[in-house]
Amino acid sequence: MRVGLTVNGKSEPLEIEPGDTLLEALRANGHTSVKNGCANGDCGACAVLLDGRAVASCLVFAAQAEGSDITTIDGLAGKDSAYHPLQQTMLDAGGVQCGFCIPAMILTAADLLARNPEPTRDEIGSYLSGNLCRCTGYVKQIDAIEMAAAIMREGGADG
Amino acid sequence: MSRPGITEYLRPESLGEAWRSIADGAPTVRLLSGGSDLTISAPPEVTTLVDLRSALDSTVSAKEDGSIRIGAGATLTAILEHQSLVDHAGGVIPEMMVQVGSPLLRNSATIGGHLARGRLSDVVPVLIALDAEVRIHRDGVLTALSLSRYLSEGHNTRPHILTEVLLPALPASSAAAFHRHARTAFDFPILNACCRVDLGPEGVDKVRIVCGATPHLALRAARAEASVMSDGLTPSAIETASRLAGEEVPTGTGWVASAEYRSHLVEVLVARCLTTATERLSR
Repeated sequence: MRVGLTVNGKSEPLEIEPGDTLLEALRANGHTSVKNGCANGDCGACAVLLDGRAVASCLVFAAQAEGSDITTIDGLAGKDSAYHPLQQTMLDAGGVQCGFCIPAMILTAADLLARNPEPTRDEIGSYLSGNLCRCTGYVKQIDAIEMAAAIMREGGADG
Repeated sequence: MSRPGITEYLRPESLGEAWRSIADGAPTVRLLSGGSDLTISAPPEVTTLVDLRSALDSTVSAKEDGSIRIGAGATLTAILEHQSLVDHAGGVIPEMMVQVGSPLLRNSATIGGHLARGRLSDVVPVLIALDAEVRIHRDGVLTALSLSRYLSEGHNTRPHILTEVLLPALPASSAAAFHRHARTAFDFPILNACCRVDLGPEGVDKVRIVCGATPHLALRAARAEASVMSDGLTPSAIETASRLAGEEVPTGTGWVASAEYRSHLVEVLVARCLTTATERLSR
């Protein structure tokens, strides 16, 4: 069956099987920044923004995304900047080690900051509760999100 | 993971159309709401998914009489964030909902799917404590019944479509509290409890004490409720009520906890809930 959706601002009809998850459909169509971790809803590495909200793409059937707007990490940065503030501060704060969890973690943080521009560290930690990282202790990633929030409040975000 | 056995995907535009897909109760057909359950645990015999997105309302709305209507297609996040639910019963709904899974799950899971699956839940005890009703569609007929009946009488195991959840209005002097105990914040509860107290001019007007994950989905503690109705909410009355709850709520042994431990948790969590609700009423 064919599903019509928008990925990173581009209309992208996908040919899928009815039982395919959104994770599988996106990766099969070249969106490999969407990571396949547990495929079970536990690790959060496959998170994307579905109509602006972060979801585990392994917990959504691809057919459910019909007509939806999907954003992966590749579509987060604005047209005029190399990196979204969340991407830049993740690098600046040393939040990236192996990097496998980072695209999803940044997208989840983007969802948080869109609704709560000045979250506390506890609120950031709570919002990341579904994004597991096996390299770090989350401290530098939370630092990075705090830094990005400050930049975005000052108008430095175009993503 | 992909479900290669699923070969058909239907998108009915109405409840009637959706009903016709499931009316004969064929085990090969499943209703799909948020998807978080079926993507990982669709039974192997399922060949057809019936996506309810277009057929179900997904909004939350507060009515003038103080009651709140939640469309079955509303995500757990929509419920967590809706202002009328933030304020309802002293804020017990967001207090509980923020502990359900993670934002990634809550952003896709729907209340209809969650209740219809009828399994281990932090949501159910809270909604039962708030006297929630559900509306279900069956063969063109919409029926309203309490959430408690919906689950205890097994309506969720027969062909039906859950269309909405209704929370009745509460008096101004009403408060509820929720506590859970789990191995980790992200894990399923070993036990949870929700208590709600309405005060009237003569003292306690109504009380609900509900325990979940016992491992039953949710059970009311009738003797403990009667104790609060007669003795009020002093520290000693709370101690008595929580002890009664620990004695009367049946518990079971599973791989995460023994029945004895769960009974102890009933006593502890009910005492915490009643104490928290009392504090909220005094503000």
